[in-house]
Amino acid sequence: MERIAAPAPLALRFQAPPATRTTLVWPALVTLAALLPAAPAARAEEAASPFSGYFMLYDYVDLTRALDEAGFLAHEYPDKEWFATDRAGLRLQLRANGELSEKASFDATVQFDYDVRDALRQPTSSVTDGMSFQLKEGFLAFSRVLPVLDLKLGRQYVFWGRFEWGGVLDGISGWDYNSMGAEKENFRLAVDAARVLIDLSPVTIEGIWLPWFAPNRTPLALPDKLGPLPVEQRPADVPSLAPENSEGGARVLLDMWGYGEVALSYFNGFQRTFYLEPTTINDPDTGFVQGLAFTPKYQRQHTLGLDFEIPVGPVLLLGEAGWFLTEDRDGTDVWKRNPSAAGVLGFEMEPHSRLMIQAQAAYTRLLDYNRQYDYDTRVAFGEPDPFVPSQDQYQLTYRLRYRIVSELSFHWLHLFNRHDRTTWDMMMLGFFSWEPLEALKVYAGGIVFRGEENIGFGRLEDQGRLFVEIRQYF
Amino acid sequence: MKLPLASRVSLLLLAILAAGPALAQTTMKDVIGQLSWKNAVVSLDFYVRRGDGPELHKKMKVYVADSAAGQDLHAVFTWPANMKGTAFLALTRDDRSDEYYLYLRTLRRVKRVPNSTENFMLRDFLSLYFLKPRPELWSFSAATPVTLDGQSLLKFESTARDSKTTSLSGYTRLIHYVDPEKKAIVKTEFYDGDKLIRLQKVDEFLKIKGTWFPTVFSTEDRSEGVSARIEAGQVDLDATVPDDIFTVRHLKQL
Repeated sequence: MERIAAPAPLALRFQAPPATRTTLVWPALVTLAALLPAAPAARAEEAASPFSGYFMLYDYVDLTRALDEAGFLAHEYPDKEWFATDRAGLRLQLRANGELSEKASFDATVQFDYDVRDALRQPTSSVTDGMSFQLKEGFLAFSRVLPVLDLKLGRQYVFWGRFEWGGVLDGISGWDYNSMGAEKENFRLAVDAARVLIDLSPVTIEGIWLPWFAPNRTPLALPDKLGPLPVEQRPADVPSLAPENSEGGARVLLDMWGYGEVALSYFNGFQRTFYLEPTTINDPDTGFVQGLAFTPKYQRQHTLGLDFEIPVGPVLLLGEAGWFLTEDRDGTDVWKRNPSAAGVLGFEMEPHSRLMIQAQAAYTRLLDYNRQYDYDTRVAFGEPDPFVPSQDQYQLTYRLRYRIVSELSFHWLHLFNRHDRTTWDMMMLGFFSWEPLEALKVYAGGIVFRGEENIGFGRLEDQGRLFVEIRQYF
Repeated sequence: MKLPLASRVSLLLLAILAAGPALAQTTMKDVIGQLSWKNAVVSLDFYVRRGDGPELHKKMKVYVADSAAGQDLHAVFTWPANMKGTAFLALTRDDRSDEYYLYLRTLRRVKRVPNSTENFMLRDFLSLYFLKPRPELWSFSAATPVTLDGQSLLKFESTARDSKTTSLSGYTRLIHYVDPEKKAIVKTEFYDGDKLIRLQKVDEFLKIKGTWFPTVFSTEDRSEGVSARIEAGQVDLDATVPDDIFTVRHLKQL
């Protein structure tokens, strides 16, 4: 099929959200104040102390204008300022973990963040502006509740599949696209879950239940107009806390007697990224269309997965495959993502003691998909020339880590998505990590996104950043 | 009765001649046998320096145990916070089908590590003195008496059984220097061909339950320019170790 669409006029722009201001700030400060006296014990290298964490200074600079002027981006951003500070401040992360008994342990991480600009920048600024507090992770773990059963309850990271980036089964813990940076904990979101592991060696069964849904953090800003019609952005329609919106699944892992591991999985949950459901706004008297309203919604999806890792000599082969049954069962709902099948194959190796390489290729095929039908339907609705992707999509990813000297390393990640013969998007993340002193880490680098259309990383073009983080661990 | 000087010298020579073969008869089997513990739990301080860089201090807890199929090792960082919780598990096997796993807390993932990895940190850690010498990997020569730094020692040359050993360890040849009294290794040289890659030396031993256990030792990787000093703070031999500590299941629960 020939390429249909010109660059989309529906310029869905994603912007950083306003700083979190919450009434939890003061209780959080009190909590931290109560816990901090214990922290020096941890700094005094008492390894048995349950407290640890880090204090961080950070600065993120908006690269969008520079990238635009350099011709790197597909869209133009004349209103963006050169190298404007996106966020700058300090963070205190405190972790407490330890054993409660022979069979029970706890692990909790709280994070206090203060974007220092916000308390000073406006005549009406308050001292608490820019402060935020969150429970990053907090769970109780019970070992051998039954001889073969382990249990973990609470907020935790759940990563299914084998790949750090670009995996097709990694759809449980969400992403925070506003906070991309060096460390995974910056941009992955722990979920509230109950998780059981049943050890029937060589088979392990993992069961998971999430009482409520947690989406990716990708705030949305729509254009003012679409063609002649004004556009209204409605609040996201996030699945409620009702039991029917809980999520769950199971994974059966087979240890292949030292030759690797293979897993089958099923997960019944929601897609973490929204789709936009449009409605017309009609004049109550005449019935004429006066505008368009878009509501971000989340659709339920059944995922059947297969993944494996097999060591072959010095190489670790990794693979994932998934079949995704969405609510758009027959492919007639053009707003929802179609059912699909996808697979990723890759490898990871350390060809040299200083170098780690990972590379992978992914293929996705949309099922029950009629590209022309989707295009025609969206034109009929009012979109002048929408972009609809090809039925077959590809992704290439490679990642490097190179230790340059001493405690200085360079990390590089490049993801490239191909949506049709001429449409692609990509993300590049590169940074240096340096440990000049004991427990002091410095990260410095940048992240950029590019994409012609408003899908994938094309939506995040104005999230390009240079960043520096200085962390003192204790 | 006082013996003439000549007689005393003769007796001394006789004693040395008699003891020499006895010392030389010490084998690596005796050295391994001296390490009679079935499991050990060691809390240690790890001081690492790369090149001219700063000395970085880590704390670890190491569990080792004999298993029916070989030896198991589980090591977890306990300090500093950026490494706390990172752990690895090595299941070494007499048939050399070793399995290595890594739990990266920053990624919250358990990863299989190919056992012929170029990850020298992992390789070097496994060749510290926590695991007992592995006859399935190395052919040990007969002992040769040598004097090193004024100390009478026994020298054992260990040759890789085949390329599989080299693939697993990264070395083709080891030379162990053994204290004949303690029947304990005091120094090891690691070679690739004739090239000395690494030196490892015990500075202090502690006799625990009849076993000489190295409590302070240092290692110097010349190819990587990395040196490390290990100080074992607490050593429990034949301690109570949780059943599942040497399982991937345990790593997944971290």
